[in-house]
Amino acid sequence: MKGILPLFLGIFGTFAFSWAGLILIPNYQIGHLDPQTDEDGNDAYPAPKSGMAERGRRIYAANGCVYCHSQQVRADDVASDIDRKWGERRSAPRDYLFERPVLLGKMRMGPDLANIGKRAPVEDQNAPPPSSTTAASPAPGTSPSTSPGPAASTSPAASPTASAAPSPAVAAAPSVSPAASPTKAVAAASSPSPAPATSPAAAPSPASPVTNAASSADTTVAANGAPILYSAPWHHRHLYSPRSVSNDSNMPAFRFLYEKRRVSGERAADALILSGPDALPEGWEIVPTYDAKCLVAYLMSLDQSHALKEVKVTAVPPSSSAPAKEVK
Amino acid sequence: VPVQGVMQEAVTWWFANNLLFLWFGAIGLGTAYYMIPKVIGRPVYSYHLAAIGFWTYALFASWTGMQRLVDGPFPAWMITASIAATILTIIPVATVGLNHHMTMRGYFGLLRYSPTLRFTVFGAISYTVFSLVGVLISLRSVARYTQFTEASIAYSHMGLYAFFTMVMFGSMYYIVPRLVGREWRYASLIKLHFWSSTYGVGLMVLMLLVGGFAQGSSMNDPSLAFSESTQTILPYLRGRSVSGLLLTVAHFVFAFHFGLMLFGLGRTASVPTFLNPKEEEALEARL
Repeated sequence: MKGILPLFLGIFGTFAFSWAGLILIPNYQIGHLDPQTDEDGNDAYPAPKSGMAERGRRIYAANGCVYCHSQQVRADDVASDIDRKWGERRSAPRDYLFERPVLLGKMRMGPDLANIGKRAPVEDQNAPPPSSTTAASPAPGTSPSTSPGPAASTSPAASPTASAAPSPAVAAAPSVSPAASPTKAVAAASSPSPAPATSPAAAPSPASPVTNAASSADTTVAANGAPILYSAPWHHRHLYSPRSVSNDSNMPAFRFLYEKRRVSGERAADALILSGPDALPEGWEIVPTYDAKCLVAYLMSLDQSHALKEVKVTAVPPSSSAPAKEVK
Repeated sequence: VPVQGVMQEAVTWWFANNLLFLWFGAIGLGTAYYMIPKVIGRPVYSYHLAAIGFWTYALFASWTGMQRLVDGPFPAWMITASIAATILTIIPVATVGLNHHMTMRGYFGLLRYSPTLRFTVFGAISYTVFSLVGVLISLRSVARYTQFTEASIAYSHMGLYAFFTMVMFGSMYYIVPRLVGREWRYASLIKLHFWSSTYGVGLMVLMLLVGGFAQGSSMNDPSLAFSESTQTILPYLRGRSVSGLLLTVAHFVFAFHFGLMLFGLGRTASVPTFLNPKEEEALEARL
């Protein structure tokens, strides 16, 4: 180090070296991916998001959701993300082609959201309407509330089949094991005034093929009036009052995204379904602002369930020893 | 960032880690290299070691960015390269630590008196611990537990507070009297500042590290509800709040003391402010 020039060149060189290695070469590898299509060029994935969802992404970022929620699923052999039903496969670079900014997240004070939209009920009239899973309240001594729909308490047995089965992350009270959680999940609003301590979550299983709950025409609201897990009304209710759907949620309430107003004429179609301590006096309603609608549109657009060529799904055989470690 | 998809995150972490290691880290290390010999009045143990430490640090630390993305949606080799670089940073860390230690050898008694030395040596020790924790939590087998938990926050605080900020405090205790021509007014306030910030940052790191491991292991146990993992971390986060209180006390004490200096209310004396009553003859030669 005889002079300033070798020092400068050396520092510049080490910077350039790591920049080439960690930025330039990876950018050749994964920086110019195209959406994946099938042989006929159809079924492109991923697709750009709608305008509302794009705006919702900005609201998601502005409210700091990313500080507590990640959007990446780790492979089955390193973590239990897939066991937690946060996804069916690990995330891959191609999943994030149109994300700007990309919100991978660094912290999980709340569950992963990479597939939160996938877990929403399909809004398709031909799909089997959702059954309402009504089971006994976990608190002993509380009489089980009865559901007006025909969905009986037999459906919990079938509910863990679909990937849309309620994640224990949101539904279950502590000390409830996932095997038991569907049976313990309670439709929160099924009783007229659920005590917040005893009814942790609304967790009916959407798209369960077993029962014929044909009475409910609205696919986003269970027969007993509570929003179905991860449907748009559920998201609104959760954003407005997190504790009303998940007892030990530590999420802040985003009430400023909602507007309280007098009902003028008809009750608004998108007014929030609230009960318990959040219930409003007669003549008032809570409606989502445009920002809230965009945020929910964004959440419901988060979906990495589409199969990718480069990601092997190893979740099916539990004894599989060949992990899908390599992304590409 | 004008790149596609997850490359935005790669650029971000490359930049952020370089900021932490090569900007804050290099400034902190350089300050420690200046302050320790200056205060104890003795040259750095080995300039060769220092040069080796500098160049290996610049080379390896700039590669460590992707250690924060372990198991993320990236090509595995990128992350592996960063983990390898993180492990290799043991070389500069060991040289720097050895160099400081050998410089200080025989002079540790001065920690009793000099505020600058106390803060700086605490920072230098934290640097070693910080780097070793960094190696630990970037290993894949450990990262599966610490990823997405408070442990990575503990890591950042060790780097930025326990190391960098403490070294900076030490250097301010050295520089400010020379700038304003007065000495620090109250040794007791310096002591209070030192102990509350030491206990504050120590408690914070301990709480977040232990809590992060607890959070990660219950998050990775699919037989527990997810909310279990956030409940697990709660007591640790309360402990962290206590540490935040301590740090706040430390900062207000320092700000008050610094304000006194700015308004020319420091002591006019020919000898620096010592933390404890000094044995004159032992110190005069050195300070």
